[in-house]
Amino acid sequence: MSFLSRFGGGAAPLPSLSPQRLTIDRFNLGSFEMLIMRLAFAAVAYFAIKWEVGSLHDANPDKLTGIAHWINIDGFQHLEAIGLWKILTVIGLMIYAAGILPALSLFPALFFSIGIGTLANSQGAINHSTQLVSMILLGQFLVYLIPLHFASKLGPMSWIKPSLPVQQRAIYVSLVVFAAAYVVSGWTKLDRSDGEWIERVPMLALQLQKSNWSEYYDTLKPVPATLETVVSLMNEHPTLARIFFGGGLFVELFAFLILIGRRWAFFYGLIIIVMHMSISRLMQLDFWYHILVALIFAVNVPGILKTFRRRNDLGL
Amino acid sequence: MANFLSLIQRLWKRLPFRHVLAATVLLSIIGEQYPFSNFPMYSSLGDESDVLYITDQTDNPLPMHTLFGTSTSTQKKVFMTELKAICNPKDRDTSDALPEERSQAGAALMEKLFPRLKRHELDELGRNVTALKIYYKVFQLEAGDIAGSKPMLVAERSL
Repeated sequence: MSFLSRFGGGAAPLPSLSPQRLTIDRFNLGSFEMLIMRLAFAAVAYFAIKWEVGSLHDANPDKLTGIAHWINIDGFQHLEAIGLWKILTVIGLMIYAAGILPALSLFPALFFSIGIGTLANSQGAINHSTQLVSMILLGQFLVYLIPLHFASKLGPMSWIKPSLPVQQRAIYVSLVVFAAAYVVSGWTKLDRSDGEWIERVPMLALQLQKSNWSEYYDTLKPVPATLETVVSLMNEHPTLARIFFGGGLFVELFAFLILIGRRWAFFYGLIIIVMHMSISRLMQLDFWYHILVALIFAVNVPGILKTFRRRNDLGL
Repeated sequence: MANFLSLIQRLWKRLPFRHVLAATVLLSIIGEQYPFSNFPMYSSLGDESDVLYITDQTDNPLPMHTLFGTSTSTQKKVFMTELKAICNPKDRDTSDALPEERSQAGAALMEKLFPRLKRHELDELGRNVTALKIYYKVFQLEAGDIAGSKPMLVAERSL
C-alpha cells in the first residue's frame, strides 16, 4: 500500500480504482455530511453576494470583465425591490440545501453572485474575495444541470432529487475548484516573477506596509505595533522570510493533494486556514470566504469521525 | 485517428489529479474574467508599494470605509486605472506621471467617490469637516528600511 493511499484513508493503492470512478469515491461522502456542507455553503454564498449595489457605478468600458464584455450589466446597480430578490435567493438556497431541484434553486444565487460580482469587478478595481464562491456556485450548478452518472439513467428525478453520486460529484467539483484556485495562484506568482518569487520575498515587506496602512486609512484603527517588528525581521533575515513565505507558495502549488482523500483534505484544509489566518494577522487582509470554504469542503467538520475511522465503507 | 484519440483518452484517465490540472490550466488561460481568476495578488513583488487616502481640509486622515463604504485599496486601484488611461496613450508609465496628470486622475476619482459620502457618518465623527482631500503616497525600500514619499495631493473638494 502506498503512503498516499494509506494516509488518504485507504487500504488499497490509488491506481486500483476503476477509471470510471471519480476521485470523490475515495471520500465516500454520506448524505448527512453533504447536507451540512450544502447548508453551510448556502449561507456563505448568500453573504458573499455584494448586495450593496447602490455603491456601484456603471462598468468602466476599459475595464470590463467576464460577461460584461457581451452584456450590459449596469442595471444591477439600480436593482429595485432588492429585499424581494434577497428573499428569493434565500428560499432558493434553502431548497438547494435540502437537495431538491438544485439546478433551479441555485440559479438566483448564481445569477446575483456573478451579475453583481462582475459589475463590482468592472469598476476599474478588481477584488478577489468572492471569485472562489462564485466559481463553486457555477461548478455545482453545472453538475446539477447535467446530472449524468454512469451508474444511473437520466430521468426527471435526476433534476428533482439528484442521486447520491450526483450530490457527491457536486462536492467533488467544489473541491476541484477550491484546489485549482490555489494552484493557479501559486503558478501565477511563479509565472509573473519569472520564477523569482521566493527570491523577491523580502520585497513583500513593502506590501505589508501598504496593506497595514491601507487598513489604518480605512478605519483609523492604529497600525499594529507588530508591523514594524515584522518588517525589520524581514529586512534583517531575508532567508527566514523566504522560508516562511515560500512555504505559503508551496502550500498553494500543492493544493491538488486535497483530492487524495479525506485525511489529506482535512489536514490540507487546516493548513490553508492557518495560512489565511497568518495573512490576516500580518497584512490585515481577510479572506473569510476562502477560510469558510476550506472549513466546509476540505476540513468537513461533521465528517471528522468518519475521516479518522480506520476504514471507510468502501474499504478504502 | 480513432486509435490515437482512444490512446489520449486512456492516458488522460490515468493522469492523477487530472481535473484539478484542467481547471488550473483553464483559470490560467482565462485570467481575470469574473467569476474566473488566476488570483494574481502579490504575484509581482515590485520595488515600491503605494496607498491612497482621504483627509479633511487640515490633512487629518478620515476613515474611508466608514465614510464611503469602500476601501482605500479599491479606490487606489480606480485611481491607477484612471492614471493609466491618461499616461499609457502617451507611452508613459504611471510612475512617470506628471503632477497635473495625477490631479486629473484624482479629480476623476473624486467625481466618483463624492456621491458615495455618508453625511451622517461624517457628522458622527464630530469634526468640522469643510473639505475633502485625496492623497497618494509611495513606499520604497531604502537601505533596508521602508521610506514613505511625501504625500501627493491629487484632489480636493469643498463640502
